[in-house]
This record gives sequence, C-alpha cells and structure tokens, in this order.
Amino acid sequence: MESILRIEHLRKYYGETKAVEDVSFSVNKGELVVIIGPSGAGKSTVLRCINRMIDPTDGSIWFEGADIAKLTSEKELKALRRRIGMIFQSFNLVYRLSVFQNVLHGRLGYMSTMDAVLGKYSEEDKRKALELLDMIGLKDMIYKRAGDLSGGQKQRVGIARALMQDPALLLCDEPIASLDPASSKIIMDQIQKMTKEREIACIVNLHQVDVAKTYADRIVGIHKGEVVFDDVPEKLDEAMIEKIYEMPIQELTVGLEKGKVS
Amino acid sequence: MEGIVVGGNRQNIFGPEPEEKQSSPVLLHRDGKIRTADPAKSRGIKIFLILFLIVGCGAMYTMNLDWAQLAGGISQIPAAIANLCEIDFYQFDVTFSALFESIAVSILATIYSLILGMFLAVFMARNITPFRWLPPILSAFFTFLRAIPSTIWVLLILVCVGFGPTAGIIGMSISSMAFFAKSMCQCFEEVSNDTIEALKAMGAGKIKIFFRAILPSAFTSLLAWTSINFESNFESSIILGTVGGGGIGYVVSNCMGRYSYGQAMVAILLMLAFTYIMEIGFTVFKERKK
Repeated sequence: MESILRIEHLRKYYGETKAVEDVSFSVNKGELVVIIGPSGAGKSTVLRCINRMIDPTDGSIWFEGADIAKLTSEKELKALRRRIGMIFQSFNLVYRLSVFQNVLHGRLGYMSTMDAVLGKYSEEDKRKALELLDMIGLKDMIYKRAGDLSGGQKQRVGIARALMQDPALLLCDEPIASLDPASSKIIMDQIQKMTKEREIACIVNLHQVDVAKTYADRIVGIHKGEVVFDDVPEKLDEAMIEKIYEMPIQELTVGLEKGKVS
Repeated sequence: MEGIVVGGNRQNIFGPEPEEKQSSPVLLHRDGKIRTADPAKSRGIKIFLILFLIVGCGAMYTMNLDWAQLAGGISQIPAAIANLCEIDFYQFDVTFSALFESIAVSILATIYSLILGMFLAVFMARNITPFRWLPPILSAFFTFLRAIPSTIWVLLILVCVGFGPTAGIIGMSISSMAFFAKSMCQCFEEVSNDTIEALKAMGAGKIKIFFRAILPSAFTSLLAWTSINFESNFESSIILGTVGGGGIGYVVSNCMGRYSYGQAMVAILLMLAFTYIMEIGFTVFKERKK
C-alpha cells in the first residue's frame, strides 16, 4: 500500500503545557485509521496539526511528498487544506444556507475569489454535489435549510461537503460524538464506504473503543501526547485499553458493553 | 440501516428516465443552470434590497444635491485645516473643566439609563418575561421614545426643569434608556434556550435563572452596548453644548464663533483623546472578563 501521510515525532507545546509529546504514525491510501485516547490526550491537536489549523512545535508531517509541517506561506497552506477534508463533531455548517449550498462550500478552495463571493459554482460542481447528496441519501432535501436537518443529516452534509473537495485525506474529529447510535452507524458506514470506494486515507478521532474496533483498519492509541499503540484492531487487548485510558477495564466496560453500536 | 444506498439510483436525476420524485426536484435557472437555493425562500431579502435601491435613488433625486457647490468647497479644505492646526492653548483650564462637565453628564445619563433599561429589558425579553403580553407593549413604547432624538427630549425637559445639566441628564437618559432596553432585551433573548432549560430542570426559578445564567452569559455583549451607548451619550452632550447647554460643546461653538480655530482644535483633540481612551478601556476590560 502506498503511504499518503507520514507523521514523524510530532510535538506541540502551548508554553509549558505539553499537548502532543511524540506522535509518529503513517496512513495509507484507502486506509481508515482510528485514533483513540482519553480526553485531553492530544487527539484533536494531532488532527489539526495535519491540516495546519494548529502550528506544530516540532516534527515532520509528510503528505504527498512534501513536509507540510514546514509550510509557512498562506498560499501553500490553502493549497494543502483543499486536499484535506475535515468533518467536525458539531458539524460546523452554515445553518442559514441550503443543504446544496453547504455541500458546494467544499469547492470554495478551488474557486476564484470573485466567483466565490458571487456564489458562481460551475455546473460541473453542482452536478457533482447533487450526485454526492444522492449518495448520502439527502437528495430530497437539497433546498432545505441546513439548520432544519436532524443531527445525523447535518453530519451527512458535512461528509458530502468534505468529499466535494476531492480530498486525498479525510480528517474526522469526533464525527459521531453528538449523534444517536442509529445515526452514528450511518455516519461511520458512510465514512468507511467513501474511504474504500474513493481510496481516500482517513483518520478518525473516536471516544468509543468498540466503534473503533468495528471500523478501523488500524488503531492508534494516544496517551498523554504519545503513541502507545499502533496496530490492527485485533491486537488491541484489554491490558492495552487500560494503559491507554489509565483506568481498570471494569470501570471502562460499563460504558462499552451497554453502548454497543453495531 | 437505509440511507446508505450503495450505487442504487444515482443516475436517476440526470438520466433519461422521467422524474418520479415530486418532493424537492432539482430547480433550474431560466438559462438551464442548476439553482443552489430555492428562490421562494430568499424572496424576502430580494424584495428588501430592491426597495432599498428604489428608496435610495428617490432620496438622491429629491435631495437635489448641489454638486457644483460641493466641488467649489473642496478648494477651501486646505485653508480650513491650516486654521485648525494653529493650536492655541488660551484658556486651557476652562476648556479642560468643560470637558469634565460633559463627561460627568454623559456618565450620569449612562448609569441612570443602564439601571432603568436593564430592569425594563427583563420584562421585554420574550424568554424571561413574567407576563407574555408585556413585551409587545413595552417594545412599542420604547420605539416611540427612541423615535424622538435625545436633543429634543432635552429641550422638552428644559421647559419643565429650566436650564442646567439636570435637563441634559434627564433628557439623555430617556432616549438612552430606550436604547438600553432594546439592546439588552436582544442580548437576553440570544442566550441559548438549552442553558435556560438546564437550569429550569434543576428547579431554579426565573429570577435565579436570570442572575445565574442569563446575566453572566450576556455580560460581554452588555458591556459592548454600554460602551457604545456611553460614547453616543458623550456625543449628544457635546451637541447639546453647541446649542447652549454648556460643557465642551459650548467651548467649541463659542471658539468657532470668535474665529479662534486653534482653541477650538484643542477642545476637539481633547474629545478625541477621551473617546479613544474610553474605547481602549472598555476593550481591555472586556478581554479580561472573557
């Protein structure tokens, strides 16, 4: 498999606070990697360092042959970001606009400023957006206001918006944390399907270990800003989970057994 | 779960087969391009913009601006600036104490109107008002108060209480209170209903919810409105001064009348400095309180 992204010794300090200490892993084309770890372990920081929403303190991030941790110019950063799609926990749509317009926002990075200001999307982009909306099952709601959708539907719009970018890499920051189990399953299924079908590399931050085991090709466990596990889901045993979450498995399993999603 | 239609009828909307879905078909522009939003839903904005354009053009037409006079005046600008730049500190003590008079008037007006306005805003905000029927009545009443500019209010009060700063303070407080009531009401209404629901679920009453949730949530925007209002009160106290109400506005109009532009400039610079310092002060305070 061809590696799309390789992170080497990533480090991020906020003054004295160590958000990420030493994180290294790589992601292949069409591979779905799930990052698990307790709150505050640095999962979100790692994701946001990849698309440079946060500037890393040290380390390298190799993406499509270049070390993107070293990029500084605004122009290069924009060119990088449009190759990387992102899906957020709280959807982050423009709720006053139509579903269709929200999906088309995925093309903003590729358009001239004038066209973007006037909302002049090309017919090709529009057709592509409709195709995506059909695929995610929102074809009948394209003119609905995004704010009127349910949580699961909003996240599906989020997925379509990210895919509009034609991303090589998809970053999902807690994509199902504010959703019910049924919607969670739809969203995770869709993320997995898109990753495989379109050969996109995908990194998902998750709270739920069982969901991670179901969907991940590989799991990366982060504890206090360091990678403590990086292997196939089958190898993630109870001892390892205890180590990642720093908590006896009995206390963890209460949530895990009852919260089964699949 | 359905919703993950693999492959399926992806081609249907574009394919040759007839549309079977009645709900929300793809809408087209007149030139055949695909619409990204339903025009029926944005009609209100369009009508508003068109009306705006018509009214704007109408205003331009009826005003009948004398462009020639305007162009002629441009040549006078350098001379006027040169006059103002000859800064003259004559009677600086008078100017300075006049500045403080204006500041005192605007501070008092702001404080009185803040207290009254906030109290009334509680009854006007639809999410916390104790009486459902009250907000529209109050809102109409305050619109009436705001429709009359503060200068007119001061003149009306002058008739009752006679000359002096009291009339200025009361007159400014009236319109300023109406402004506060409206802006604060909006701040209160913007506080998320989820937060209010959470506190209600804990058994807190309306007064508790107001002081423990709504007021802290709205604090920074309240501060912003207070700063804006204080600024506008300072401004109106100056305008009142120019028509004879005392304070630094009087100094400026008096100096201009005597052609001592340099002295007027000192007064103007003092106002500028004060407004700027206040602005910085409020910004710093707001940053701290975040």
